[in-house]
Amino acid sequence: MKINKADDLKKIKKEGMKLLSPAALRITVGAATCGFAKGAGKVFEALKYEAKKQKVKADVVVVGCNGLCYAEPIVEVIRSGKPRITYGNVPVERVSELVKAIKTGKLVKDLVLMRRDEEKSPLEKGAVIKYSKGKLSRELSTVKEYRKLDFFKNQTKLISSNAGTISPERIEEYIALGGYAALAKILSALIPEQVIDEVSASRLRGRGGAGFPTGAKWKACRLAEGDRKYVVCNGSEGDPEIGMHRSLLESDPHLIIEGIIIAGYAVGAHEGYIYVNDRYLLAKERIENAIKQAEKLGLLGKNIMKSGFSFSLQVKRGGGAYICGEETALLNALEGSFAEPRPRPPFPAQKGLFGMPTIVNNLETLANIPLIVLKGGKWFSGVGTKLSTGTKIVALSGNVTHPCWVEVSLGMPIKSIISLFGKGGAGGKKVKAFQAGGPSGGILPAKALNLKLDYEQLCKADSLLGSGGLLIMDENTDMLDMAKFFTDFFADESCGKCTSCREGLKQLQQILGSVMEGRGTKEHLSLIKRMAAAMADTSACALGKTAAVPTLSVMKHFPQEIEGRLMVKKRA
Amino acid sequence: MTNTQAEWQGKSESMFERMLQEVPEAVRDVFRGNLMAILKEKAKDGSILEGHVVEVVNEKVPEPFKGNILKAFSLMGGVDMNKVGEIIERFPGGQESLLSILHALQDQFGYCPPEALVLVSQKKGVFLSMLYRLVTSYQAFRTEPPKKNMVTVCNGTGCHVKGGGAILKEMEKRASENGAQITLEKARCLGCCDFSPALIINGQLYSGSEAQAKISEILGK
Repeated sequence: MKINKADDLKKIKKEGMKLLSPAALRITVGAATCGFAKGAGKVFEALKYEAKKQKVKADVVVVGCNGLCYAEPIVEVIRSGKPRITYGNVPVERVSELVKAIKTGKLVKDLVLMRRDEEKSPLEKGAVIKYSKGKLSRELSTVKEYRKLDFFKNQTKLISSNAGTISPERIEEYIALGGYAALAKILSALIPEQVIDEVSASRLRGRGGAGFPTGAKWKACRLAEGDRKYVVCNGSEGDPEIGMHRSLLESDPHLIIEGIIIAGYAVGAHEGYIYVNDRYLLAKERIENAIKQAEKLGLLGKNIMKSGFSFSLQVKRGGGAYICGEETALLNALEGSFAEPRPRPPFPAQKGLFGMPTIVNNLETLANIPLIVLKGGKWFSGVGTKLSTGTKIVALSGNVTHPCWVEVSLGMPIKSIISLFGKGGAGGKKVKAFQAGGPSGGILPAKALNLKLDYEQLCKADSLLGSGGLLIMDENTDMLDMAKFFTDFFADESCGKCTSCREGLKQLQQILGSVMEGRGTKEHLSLIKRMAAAMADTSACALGKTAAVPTLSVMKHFPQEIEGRLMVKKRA
Repeated sequence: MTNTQAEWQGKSESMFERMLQEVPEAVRDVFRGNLMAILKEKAKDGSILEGHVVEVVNEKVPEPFKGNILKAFSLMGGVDMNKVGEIIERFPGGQESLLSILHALQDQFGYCPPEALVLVSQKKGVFLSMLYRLVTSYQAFRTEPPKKNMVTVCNGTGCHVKGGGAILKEMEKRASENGAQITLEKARCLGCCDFSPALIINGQLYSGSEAQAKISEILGK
């Protein structure tokens, strides 16, 4: 069947609702990469086997990740009229016991994490699905409602609200929660310029790192002349931290696809590419499957929803290079060339992929688009702060009690993010330093924890919002070792095009190595500063420009850890 | 003729001889003479490629010998050039298809075999040196076949902070030991930061503290 008008969409919405809150049982397993790493695959198989063996009729499905990575494997049970129950850290050995409890309507108390009485969506005020009807039993009322937990209470879930709820393999479930409504709206009621105006009004900024206004980028591409235009979704995510964008791709691929199609309509492109990291095989598989489903329903391909607008989408697997997060290097990789940045101007919006006008947007940026179209740019600009609107997905890693990923409204103090979601330093240790924005961000001391998470404040503190990574280091961390680690990382990832970056990093590695071995001198430190300045001035792209930032920030904020290790001249 | 081609020529001829062992002795000479002549004609500039051999065997050798020869060929550790040809044809287009081809080659053979790259360079009209640069500059590709045990150590920042550096060093040491059947890879993030420092040994996830015992176990020491 092809979807031609809004009514057809409603029909599928109904089907999806039946899947999400069925008359019989629905058992879901959190199966993104984080879940699979901890055995979700086995739990899924065991659930299916046990359900059959114990004659429990249930729809056992895989869903994405809800952010509680530390509690994987997560199993959820949805029974008609009862709240949705979440079990965490479910070992495969206890699946049989769990299914037995499900059959008799009981709880496995030591595995229960929370309950969910209703499903909320950023699109609607009221509940989208009411799971729980009537009065709760005494046993159930002792389980905490998810909105009472710090972890969910303090999040603003705009783009990740579906993650962990819908199956990434079923388009009906995405449509049930308001999916593809934005696409239907623009194709029937808005001209491309109006879409761009809406995005400009939202003051949405690029989520990849630089924070460039998305509306302005789109406008430039719309106005640029070319035979063809392209939309490229940047899913490279080379940061060596929790893959929150991977989680989003694996949990809700249709959201990204819808965002890309709308972007294509707005700038006048008919072809799009999603570039995914070479290790993101599960994400690639799910997004390819999602593209097929969308094509089957006529939401992608020729003459979408009989509007006359056509758009085709392809997934490209990258070759594994951090530099591919840089947009011009990414275009080179798409063209099958070496991943090295191109000189700018011309900007990709004028001359990008195959020499044609191209917009390259981070996938998190594109994920915001359907919501902006449906609820309006003005509404969106009310979330977050004045200059940094909307939300940001943040991944907490390192020495925190609970590594996880969350979506918070921009402007939230970093201190609260660490204490509310990460539950402080691991093992009760004090947080000594943190780094925001991935490897290129400065390493800041604990006294900077009062900073708010937005583009301006972090930038002022020589750090950056970047891709939203938040690395926590505790009192045992050797800061010089961290500086060396990031320098090694950049030396590994430098494409070698600019001499200053390629050779500068090699020298930095050597100098830091000597300091670590106790052969460093004061001159070494001033040499680092001079070299960092030269690298920042003469490198073509942000990688080289910022490669020395972690080292410089360690020198600035933790001087005692470096100077204390310099070679001391013996008194005569 | 490039070095690789020259090396390859010697290799394919010896392979050809070994393949002929699959044919009954009585007819071996006939096959050898005929096939070699056709092969030489096919390789006009003198470089006989593995693809040529497979092609000729496919065309000229009757069943049941053909099946035997091709089977022997695939067991010799050589690269099945038919497969390589198929892969190249699966991705039409010019340069933009190269990364996809390299990925497909690696998925098929576990690495990007030099002889396969030669064929890619001929079919797509790109320099071999350029392909070599692609294979070595992107981290995803291997130029050597993977060993029996696959160890992927998470080298993400989260794992590093929790002591991943020491695990990586230890694994590097073990992998460089004589005769160690380990292919070591560094990953940027395995997605299980609460398990950090994390590593995957032959598809199974381990945290740093369990790694020592496991690695000794697979090495049989």
